[in-house]
Amino acid sequence: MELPITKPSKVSYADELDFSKLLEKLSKDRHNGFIRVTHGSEEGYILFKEGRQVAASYDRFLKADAVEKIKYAMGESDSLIEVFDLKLSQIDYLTDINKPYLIDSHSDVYNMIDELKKSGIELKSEPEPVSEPEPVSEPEPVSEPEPVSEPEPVSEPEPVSEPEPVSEPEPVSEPEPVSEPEPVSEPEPVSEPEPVSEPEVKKVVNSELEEPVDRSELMKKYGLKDVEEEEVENILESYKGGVLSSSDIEKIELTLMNKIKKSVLGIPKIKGTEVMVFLDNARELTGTINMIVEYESMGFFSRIMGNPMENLRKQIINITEIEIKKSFREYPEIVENFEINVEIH
Amino acid sequence: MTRVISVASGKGGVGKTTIAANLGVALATYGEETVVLDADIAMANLELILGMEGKSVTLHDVLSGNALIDDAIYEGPSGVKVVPAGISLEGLRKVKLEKLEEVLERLIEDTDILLIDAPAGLEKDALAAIAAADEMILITTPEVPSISDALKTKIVANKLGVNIIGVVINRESHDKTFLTDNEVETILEVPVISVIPEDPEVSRAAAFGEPIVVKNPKSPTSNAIMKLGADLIGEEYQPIEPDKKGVISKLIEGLLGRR
Repeated sequence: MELPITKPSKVSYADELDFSKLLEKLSKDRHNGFIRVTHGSEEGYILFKEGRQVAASYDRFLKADAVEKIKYAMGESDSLIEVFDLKLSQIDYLTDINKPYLIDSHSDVYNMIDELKKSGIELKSEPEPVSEPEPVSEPEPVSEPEPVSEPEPVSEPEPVSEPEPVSEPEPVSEPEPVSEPEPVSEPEPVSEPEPVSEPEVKKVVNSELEEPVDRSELMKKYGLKDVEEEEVENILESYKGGVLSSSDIEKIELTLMNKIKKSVLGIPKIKGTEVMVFLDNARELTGTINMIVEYESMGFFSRIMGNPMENLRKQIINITEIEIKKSFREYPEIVENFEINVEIH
Repeated sequence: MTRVISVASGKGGVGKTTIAANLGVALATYGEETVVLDADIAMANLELILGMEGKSVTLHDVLSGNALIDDAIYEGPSGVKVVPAGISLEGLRKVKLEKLEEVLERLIEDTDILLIDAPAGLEKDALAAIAAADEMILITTPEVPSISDALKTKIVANKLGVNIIGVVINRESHDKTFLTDNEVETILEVPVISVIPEDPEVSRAAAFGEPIVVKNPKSPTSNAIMKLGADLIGEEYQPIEPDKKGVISKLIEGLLGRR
């Protein structure tokens, strides 16, 4: 199957995890993604859409047979299983390009059955046995269109009620043809029909797979997006911010100096002030602001009231910080990068 | 005229520094006056790959205004000139990126090719390194996250007016699960100019502090990088075939006194 391999969200050897539980969990979590099972040189995949198994391949096997083979491979302790997560939009695309592997859609599984019927093989005999509730016993029950699940019905939504093979949980999205009322009987028979006939069909299908070359399809397949113009602008904006030229720095210093001076002179009883701003354009813009403030002599009452100079100093620092924040509206935290020294005479 | 080429990737850990270092050595072998500048001032390791760690004056010192660029240029393997970034993080905050331009002006004076090993990501330092160059070689591995970041880098570089020479696919491993060369080329819309195979010899060479093109010139990686270097300057490159003699035949020859 054509699937985008990225970093798996889970990796484990078969003997370290319970495969049916994993399937159950993926179903319960309405997982979007796929699992890859590697046994020796053979690889198998099951694609999940919202927890439902929608497509499968294993070596040269497809669909339900592939699921069966995967289950079998999971019985070998040295098989490796990896779980990959995808976005729902990617799944839609992947089901589209992997049509030959779809186990879900009415079409294939039933077609296979039809083929078998047509070829007049074993189907006849089986029909009834269906009744058995415990499929588990044999390794064969496999072929059921049922996705996974042997023992655990879990993977299927309401397995009990429908023995349905294909059984969709609540496939709102899928136009599931599930409609078949009788299928109950079918599923079973299939179990026997051993693969013999299948392989050929699969090979043919395999050869039909074509690799998408169109860029937009590839982007969809791998869940990639072009960068928006706005994002590029933002990135470049931060870059420009980091490389202020010396003349820019001088302009900022001058502007900041005038603004601070004007504000400080607005404080009553301030006779005059000198403000010096020194910016350092290292990796982050930092700065030092030195101020000398001339204050009218304090009255007798103010002196008694404690430390008026300290209060004034705080007020001037406050005003200065407000001016810095106003000057760097987009980045007010920059105020932390400034050292403010005030000397009052 | 000096060519200033940045080697950038977007994602870290794709082998950018290894390729920049070896490409620099390759170009120097062809007789080009080549300087490799490690602009990754936060995660410098060009000097480790070239076995030149511990230099007293580095780009750090130059960008902090504590040294002159001339004192930070060292001669490396095959005559390639190297400006190490300096591994210490001390003084990183003092670094003035705008000084980079000044540094480059001096570096290109007697140089044919200046390779800038750009930091990963698209932070200010990475952008400064990309913007400082006229051309760019994009490095990626054939995996989705790496391609995704390379795509961003390419778009930003285009916006900065940098000419992208092409993409180098590193650590190619004919695994059908990775993106094919064609897919990479289609997605990035940039020609694939070199495909470097996954090669354990690379880590081995790095462990010895030697560039692989010197330590193991017959390796597929060395051949790919030498070819890339030759293509950049319009030279012909004849790949060096690996020894075909098996260990046993070499042993027998040794025992018989033949070499």
